[in-house]
Amino acid sequence: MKLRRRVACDIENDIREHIEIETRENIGRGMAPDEALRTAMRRFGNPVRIAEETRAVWRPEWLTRVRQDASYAVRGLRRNPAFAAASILTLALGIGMSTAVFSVVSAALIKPLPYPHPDRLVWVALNNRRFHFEASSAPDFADWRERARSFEAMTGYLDIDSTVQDGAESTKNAFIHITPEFWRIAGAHAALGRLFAASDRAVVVLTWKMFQQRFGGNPGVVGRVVRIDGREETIIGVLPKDFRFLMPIGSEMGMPGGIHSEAEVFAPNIITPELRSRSNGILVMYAVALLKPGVSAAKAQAEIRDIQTRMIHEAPSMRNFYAASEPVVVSLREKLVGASRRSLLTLLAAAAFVVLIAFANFGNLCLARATARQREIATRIAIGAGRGRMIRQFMVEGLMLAGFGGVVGIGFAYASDALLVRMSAAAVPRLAEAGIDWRVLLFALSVAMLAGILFGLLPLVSLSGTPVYIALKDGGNNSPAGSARLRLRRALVAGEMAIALVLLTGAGLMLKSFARMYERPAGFEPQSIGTMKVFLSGPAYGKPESEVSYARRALETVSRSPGVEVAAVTNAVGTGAAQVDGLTFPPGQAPMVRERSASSGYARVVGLPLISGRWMKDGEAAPVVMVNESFVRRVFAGADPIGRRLRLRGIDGSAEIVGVVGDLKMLRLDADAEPEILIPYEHTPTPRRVDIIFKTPASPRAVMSEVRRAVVRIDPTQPPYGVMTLEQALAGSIAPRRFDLLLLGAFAASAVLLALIGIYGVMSYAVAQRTREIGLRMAVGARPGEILSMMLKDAMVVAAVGIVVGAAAALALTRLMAALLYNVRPNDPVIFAAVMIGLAATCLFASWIPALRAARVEPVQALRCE
Amino acid sequence: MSTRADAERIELLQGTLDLLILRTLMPGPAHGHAIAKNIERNSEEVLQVEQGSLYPALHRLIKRGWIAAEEGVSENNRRAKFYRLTPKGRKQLRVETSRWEKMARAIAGILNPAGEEAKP
Repeated sequence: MKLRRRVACDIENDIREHIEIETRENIGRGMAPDEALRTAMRRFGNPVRIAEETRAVWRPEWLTRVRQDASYAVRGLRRNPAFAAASILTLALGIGMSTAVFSVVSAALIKPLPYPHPDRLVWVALNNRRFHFEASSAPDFADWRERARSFEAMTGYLDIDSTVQDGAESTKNAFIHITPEFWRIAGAHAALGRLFAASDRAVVVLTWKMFQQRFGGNPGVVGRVVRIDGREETIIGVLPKDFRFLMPIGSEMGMPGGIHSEAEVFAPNIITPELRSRSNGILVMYAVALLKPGVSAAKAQAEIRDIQTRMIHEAPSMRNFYAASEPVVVSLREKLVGASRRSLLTLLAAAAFVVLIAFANFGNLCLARATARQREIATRIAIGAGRGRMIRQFMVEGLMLAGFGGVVGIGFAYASDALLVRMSAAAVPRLAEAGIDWRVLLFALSVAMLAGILFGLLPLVSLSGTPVYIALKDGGNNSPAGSARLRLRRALVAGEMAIALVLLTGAGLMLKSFARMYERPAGFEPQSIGTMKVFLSGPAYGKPESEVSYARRALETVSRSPGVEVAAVTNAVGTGAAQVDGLTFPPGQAPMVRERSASSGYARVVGLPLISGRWMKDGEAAPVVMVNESFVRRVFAGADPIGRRLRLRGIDGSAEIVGVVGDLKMLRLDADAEPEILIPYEHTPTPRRVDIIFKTPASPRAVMSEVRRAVVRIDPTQPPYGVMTLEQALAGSIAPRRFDLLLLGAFAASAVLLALIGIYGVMSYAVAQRTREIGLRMAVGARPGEILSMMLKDAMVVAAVGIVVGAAAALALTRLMAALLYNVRPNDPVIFAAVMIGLAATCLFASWIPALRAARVEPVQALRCE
Repeated sequence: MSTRADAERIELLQGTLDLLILRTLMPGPAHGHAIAKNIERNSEEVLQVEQGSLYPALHRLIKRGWIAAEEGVSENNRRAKFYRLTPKGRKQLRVETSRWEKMARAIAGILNPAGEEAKP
């Protein structure tokens, strides 16, 4: 076989040799050298063709035929570059969009987690109905780890921002305190140094990124002592570059505090006896476990429930909390991506719609082309090309276009993946891992193949009934096949319209949700509010007096900074059951309210309106509080609360309500305002965190760095972080929805574009086909205006059918996306009406040009043609 | 390409060319040009091959295993491929020759006055 291949390879050499010998012989017969060569060449034949024929001998039969078809198809497409370009672009758009979305979905829902036993990893927690959170705690975790038999290993962790001081430089970094079982569960090994074990204290392990960015990738940092929140700790290792920490963290689950960026430093999570006792409240912690092989999550959950039932008796102080808690053991993947599954599947469905429209348009183009080639096809059938041969020919052409479309589409998907990751990496779980892998390529390939085969063959459907002689006679313009094709094309366009309407409705509903989310009271101007956080750490803090004194100094410093109109310090203290003197709620029914500490400037910075009562001032002698309107509604059922007294944690006695302020969404844009209490910051036991906010008439960006420097000067060991405008902070809270809207909007836009191209194409075709008829009508007295309205009516019938069908489908489908909407009903009549009218209007516009062309037909010329 | 001389030449049927190549290689290996010349000479230049068409035919025969190619040096003192008959090809030549002769006799029988030679 090897020899054979060499034989085939050397053919050019053999031919050259042959011609040389012949030339020499010719010279020997007395010819001049150049004549001798010419004669030899003539006797030999065309060397290129012969080399090709010779090589063809070695090719399998079917390959030869496919090559023939392919080269025929290429020639055909080259003759009609507009068709080829339109088809390839249409398909690339459809394939590219769907592939990009698929790669995102695949990364989130299909790709296994990058750990050794992804299927056995579970999230273990208590779901508390009253506090609306799902977490574990230090004592619960320790009990489960000791008593539960379902797990091979269990790790407990919590996330927190801490200060890393190395020499003179302090930074705030995202820490994960985690028990050492994690390394085994995650299958992690150190790239440098080692990872910590159960016996290690006062050590940290860096991620690769932290190692590179903060320590310049210098291997010498292993063994170095740095100050973490003022304590001396040793860097003992660095994690490899491809290590990923994918466990759920507090901020993703709506817990206050916690880290807001990727994990950067790992430290041992040590459960001290104090942490284990439940006498002084419990430390929230999260737990992830590796199930033993063969143990189901349900069985593990039953075991945890047993342990918790016993705990109710062992820890009476926790009885109420445990009674309202339900154990949860779910697959880690489900925990990570479950919440975004619906939105991802909605996007995938939307992408599928775009693919359908793109396919329909491609089919439309193919039909138009089949019409143009009617005579050629008929001729080929007349001279004996079999039906099978024609099918193969169409299929090869379709597949070739689909192939090109697929390649361009994959490039498109690659680019949009990069764009999506850059724009909103936090919007979808594991988005950063999205990329073009084999699953995605397989998907793109299948879509392309389907398009090529299905729609490449579409013209044959309409071709089959045509007698050859008719096709030959008039090129098909008035043949039965011609009108069958027109019917088919109209149906395709109506289908495109319907799908475009569904997508537009979806995008419209999302857009309205967005408008609703951004609705804000007058006076609230997040774009001119700067925010930054300080987390007070180290031995100097931890007592209320030192923290309040820091807050007071920060407030004075920032208020004096140039460009700052008004400043405030504030902090979300926590959430608890409302306790009002003289009000009793049934057990477990007291409304949950948020407590916020604030200085008096808070209301002016965020623009809160005073509804009744008076403002609280800085330096109030007794703790007085303000509540918001939601609080009044939920707790007092709308009755006047001024003068009533509240009980608050950490405040002796009770606090009088002196004023009511308007509602404001400060934390998340996509949640309604919640009942809130404002407490003077001087009277609040703050949990170490101080949020500094300030309003400026200029752009906050301009003054932000100056304010930051001023805050650093107060205490250089407490660097502020999370420096951004409130607008940015709020935008971050709806990143997933923005991501959905962005994609859905892009889909809807391309759907409409494709549908318009479709209706334009069909109208142009109809005009061309009916030129003679139009000419005749005009010859017998029809006016251009009548022709125009006749053609437009024709187009609008197609559009109307599409729009009505689409509206019905949208009504059924948008219900499925109710969870993605905010304060908008899925059948919002305004959106439906706007979308239907808008689409009809654009259709009218798209068909105007061809209709106008029809109205300008010269009767004489039209009748003479053909 | 069509000169007056060409008109008197006979276009070769494909199968015939295969047979002629096999026959030419009977005495021993030869390279492409030599085979072409040999066919032309032995048929007194009546059977005319477009010399190039020899090569696809040669490769077809190699693919079927009737001939084999080996490296050699041409009279030009250059690297060239020499083709030789394989045992399988030798057998095929016998089969083809006898079939050809049968057919030639049959054709001759039709073209010549019927029966004269058949009746001794």
